[in-house]
Amino acid sequence: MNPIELDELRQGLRDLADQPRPIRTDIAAARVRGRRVIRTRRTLAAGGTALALGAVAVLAIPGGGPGKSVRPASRVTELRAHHRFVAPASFGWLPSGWRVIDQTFGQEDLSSTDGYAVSAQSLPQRGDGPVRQAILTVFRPGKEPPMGYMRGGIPAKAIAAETVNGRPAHWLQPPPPGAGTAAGEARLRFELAPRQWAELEVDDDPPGDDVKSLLYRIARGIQPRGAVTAFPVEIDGLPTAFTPIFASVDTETSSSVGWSTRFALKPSLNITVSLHARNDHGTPIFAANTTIDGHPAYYGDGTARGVVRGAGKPLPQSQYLCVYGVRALNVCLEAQGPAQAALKPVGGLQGLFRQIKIFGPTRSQWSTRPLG
Amino acid sequence: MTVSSEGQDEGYTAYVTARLGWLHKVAVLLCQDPQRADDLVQTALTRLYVHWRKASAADNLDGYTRTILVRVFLAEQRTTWWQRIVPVRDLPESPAPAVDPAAALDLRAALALLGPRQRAVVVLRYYSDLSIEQTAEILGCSPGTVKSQAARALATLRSTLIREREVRP
Repeated sequence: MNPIELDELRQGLRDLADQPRPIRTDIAAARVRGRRVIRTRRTLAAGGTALALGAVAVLAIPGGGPGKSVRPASRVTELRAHHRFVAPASFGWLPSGWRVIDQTFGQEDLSSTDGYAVSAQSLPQRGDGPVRQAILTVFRPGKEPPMGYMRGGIPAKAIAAETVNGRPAHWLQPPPPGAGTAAGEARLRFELAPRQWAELEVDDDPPGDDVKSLLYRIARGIQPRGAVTAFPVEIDGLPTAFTPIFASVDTETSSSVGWSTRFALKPSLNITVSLHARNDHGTPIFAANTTIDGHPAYYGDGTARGVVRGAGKPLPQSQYLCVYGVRALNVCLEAQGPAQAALKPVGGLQGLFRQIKIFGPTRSQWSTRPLG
Repeated sequence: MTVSSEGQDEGYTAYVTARLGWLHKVAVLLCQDPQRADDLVQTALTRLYVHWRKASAADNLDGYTRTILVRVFLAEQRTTWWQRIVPVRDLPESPAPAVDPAAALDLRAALALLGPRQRAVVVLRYYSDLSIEQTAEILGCSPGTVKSQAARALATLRSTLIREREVRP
């Protein structure tokens, strides 16, 4: 889909969702039933039966359970070289028509991969064209990371595979054709360089004649070095209290990834630059309510979103600042708790925004030192 | 009822009352059926109540709640069809017309052709505007899987919508 069609899709989804309809949900009944579940659990826990474990396992909650953690990690690590984002590898060969659509550095949270990832997709000009992609992940140097899980929370296990450029390799699922979690999917883990593991996933839909050959041809062409990545922003004078843990740059409006750049920094600061001015729910919550330097903007401190206090302590409130149409791009900043205090020396979110240079959507004008 | 459970109920009720409309919108997009959406939200709210102490302390309560809702929806796909049928006393009222009824029908029909996980990816990526990584966390899969599911879903939607528009008088 091209950007206009994606905008139509977004608008279509909003129109569908916004159709007025009666809501028959009974909040009181949910409370009553919830209390009953809690009582039952306590009773079972007091009895110390195995059934109690079963009852807990049935309730899928965020933050635990099989299938949540794709690649387990002990903690979110900081990005070592945060002034320049250098790709540790690059595709040396891709099928005709495939383009790199996004790159990610670091680990956004414990459920995501810690390392570098680059994706390439074939971008069909027609809706019924084939959708094909390759995703290369390069892990941090060291021993091979845990295997993690396949789709549906199934633990992955190593299956012997041919070497890649003479280095060890193994499948993470039964090798193709047709034995993976979906037809046309293949995932290969291999040593890119000594103590440098990588993983290549190829999705060939509709499945080609030989996914395995395609994957190996791409894998053998991967170069264990890459270029310095450029970003559409540059932030001068970012307080030293902030450490980047994640950065991504998605550069293809017509792909499934879209066009945006994001940075996540500790403590609790998120910076997003996008072509589409959207909020979390597609509703006008982030509609402009002020102007900053002549640009329409939204500023909120969290209370405007209807966030309520929980049973115990107040919820941490986020401050949001979204400034729209800055050299054709939209900049959204979000700071929670300690990030708000750390931003005071530069004048809060507004002060931080004024320290951000926006280079627009033309890639040749971007900066390779986005964080100064 | 203890003092703490009264406090829990107060916070829970205030939050759910404020966010009920949004939850229903997400649920309707996920399951394509307003009546089923009621059931999804009802089940999700029960689970939210059970986990309210943890949920209310979460950095992103909306995200926590949305994760519960999506997982309830996906878990429901694994149940048999007769378990999904809920008898109702009254016939549902007819929904109000969409802004563009023909376009809304086209999109609804196209969404219905997607599998549950692909539809969830579309809703999370293009309605909730979540990142690849956030979507992967909610669905319990790798970012790569989200990308491939999104690409396939978009291709299906596009080809379906083109066909629908070609046959429309």
